[in-house]
Amino acid sequence: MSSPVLPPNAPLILDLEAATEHEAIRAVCGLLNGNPDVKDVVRFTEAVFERQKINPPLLGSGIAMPHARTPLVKEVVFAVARCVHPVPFGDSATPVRLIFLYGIPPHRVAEHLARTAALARKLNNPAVIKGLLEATDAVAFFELLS
Amino acid sequence: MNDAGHPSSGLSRAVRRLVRVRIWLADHLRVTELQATLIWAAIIGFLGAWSSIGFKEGTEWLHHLFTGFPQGEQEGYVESFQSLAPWQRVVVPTLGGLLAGLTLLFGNRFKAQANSTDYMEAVVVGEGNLSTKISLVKSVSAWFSSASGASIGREGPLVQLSSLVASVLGKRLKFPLARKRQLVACGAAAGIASAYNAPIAGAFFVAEIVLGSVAMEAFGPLVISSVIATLATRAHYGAEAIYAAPVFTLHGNAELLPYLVLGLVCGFATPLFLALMKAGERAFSLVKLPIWARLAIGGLIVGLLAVIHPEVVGNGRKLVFDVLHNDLLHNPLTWQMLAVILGCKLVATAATFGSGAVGGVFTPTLFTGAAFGYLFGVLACRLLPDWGMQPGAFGLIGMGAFLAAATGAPIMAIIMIFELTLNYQILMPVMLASMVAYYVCRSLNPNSLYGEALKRKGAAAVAQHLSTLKVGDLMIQDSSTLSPNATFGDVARHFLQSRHEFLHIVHDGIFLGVISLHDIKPYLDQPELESLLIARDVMREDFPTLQPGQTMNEALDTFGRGESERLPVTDADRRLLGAVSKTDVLLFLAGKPKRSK
Repeated sequence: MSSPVLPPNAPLILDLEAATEHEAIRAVCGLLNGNPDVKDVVRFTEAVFERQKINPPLLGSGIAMPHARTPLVKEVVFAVARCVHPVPFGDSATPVRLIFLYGIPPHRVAEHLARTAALARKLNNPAVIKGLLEATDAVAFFELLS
Repeated sequence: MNDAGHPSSGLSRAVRRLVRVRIWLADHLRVTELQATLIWAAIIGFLGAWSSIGFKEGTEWLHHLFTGFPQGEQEGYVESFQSLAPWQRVVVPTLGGLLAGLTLLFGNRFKAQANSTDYMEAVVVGEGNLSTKISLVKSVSAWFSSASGASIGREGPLVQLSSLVASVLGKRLKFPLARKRQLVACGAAAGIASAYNAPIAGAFFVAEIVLGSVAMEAFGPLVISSVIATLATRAHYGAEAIYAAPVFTLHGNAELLPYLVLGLVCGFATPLFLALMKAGERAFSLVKLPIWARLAIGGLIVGLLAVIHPEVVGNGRKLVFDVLHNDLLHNPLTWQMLAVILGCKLVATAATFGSGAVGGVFTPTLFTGAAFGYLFGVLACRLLPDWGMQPGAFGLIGMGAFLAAATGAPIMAIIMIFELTLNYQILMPVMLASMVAYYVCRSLNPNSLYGEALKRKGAAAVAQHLSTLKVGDLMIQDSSTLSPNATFGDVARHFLQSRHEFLHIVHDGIFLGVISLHDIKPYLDQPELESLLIARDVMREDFPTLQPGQTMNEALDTFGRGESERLPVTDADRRLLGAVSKTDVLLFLAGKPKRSK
């Protein structure tokens, strides 16, 4: 389940049902419940919402990469979701099917840049996106990102 | 050509010619920067000479007051001390030291702020501004020391005073920095030239020792200043050579060999002389006494030595004369007697110099070289009795060799010996011995008499500038700021337009952190990051900041701990006030004006 662009054990949900951006993000953050590297999932979720308010990180092609640089995480954490139906994100209501959510400790600036850039590079490939949208299980999903 | 219709047809032919002449004159007779510097160099040479004459006359008067010895007996300190009772020989230098020390204690109240306290510092690292109060205090202190028989040269205060004249002129007339520094150097050259009646050596002294260059642009004004200073001094005292020596004759080429050996020996002996001067300083710094007590003790040591050997008092000029003329106080000179006097004189000079007395060791160095050369000459003449050599000739050559090695200025030393003796025959052996002594000494001890002082003064001046200069003084407006919500694209574009490696992130005037070009450089070719990241995402919060009230010393410590060439300046609430760059600090220390805000 590991991949170079995502940390090992990143939780994944392949059939997320959500009507709004808030609902979707809350659900993806919920995947981090019980992760020892997240000090407080509720406050972490609020930090992600704060960041979303400024400028929702949207890659295009139905991909959102919500994130937060916050002391509420001890290590880099990822949670991934594929929505069953497109969810409108941001003021422009951009339809999103794939959500790659992550949290970064404040001092890990270089890693933040490296992780974001690596993931964006990988997701820049239409074949990879198509594969991710059609993957039947987590193994197939993460293999496309390896 | 018909004048009608011409724009200047209203002017007669004669008037037009006059206008043309005026334009030609204005074009060709406009005073350039170099010409203006040369004119001012001449004026400073004249004024510097008169400040030196004033100091010399004042010292003679005070010496007369201290000893009762008739005024007008030029440099007759040894004779005047001989005429004193033993207790007076002790009291006079001790009292002089005490007064010199009290003067310095009084002068400690004047802390030089933006101004330098020493001419070398003013020329090399300062702004060409000498502190008038401190210079006068130092000169008065040197006046007491010199007049009471301290074993120290007068060239220090003479150079300080004539440099001060140049500095005051430069300040009053608001000269640009480069000209101010150049003219203070001219003042120093005038001081040396008038002290030793040696115009060429005066110019070379400053060029070699202070400026470290004989480039024509800098050397020309020094020569003008030295020549005018020497002419003014000669008009007052006469044109005789200061150390008019017996005629020097080179009997054959083989005679150069002993002089070459003398150069070698002087090269080895000079580091010991320099070490002795430093030992004197160290000994006085070990006893934690106030400045007035130290100078009084320095005077007391000279006084006690003078009870037995009054030859130790003064700068040693009379002794040099006696060595060169093989006549010690009207008695034939014996090498044993000279060896004892040399030992006593070295102790007296180390005590005076080490106590912190203001003055120079130029003349004591000349005597040490002359005595050392003479003693070597006695040995050489005994070993080679058929060569017809005279120990006095070795004294002359030793003087040049020792001076070259001690000052680290061999060209100046060669010219100085020629000018002091006005004897052409001496040039070749002096050149040989001086260069050999210089290279041997430098290989053993890279610091010269003035080099080390200059290094210390330079370091002290820099340290003083850094401790008094506040961050707020050098702070400039920060034009490279960005909002934390700026997109990654904005960040990249900002770096393209800025020469800085760190962008300051500010929100509502509050400094939040920086973005490092080093961090984002690998990702500048990924346009997709523009929609994913904002400045806040890639900002470093743990970046050091400065407060306007901090000293530049503290600021440099902060610069040293980080990698930035520019630091943000904030108030206590982290409100961004501006920025300070290392370049501005360096420009300030180099005496360059602050860059525009």
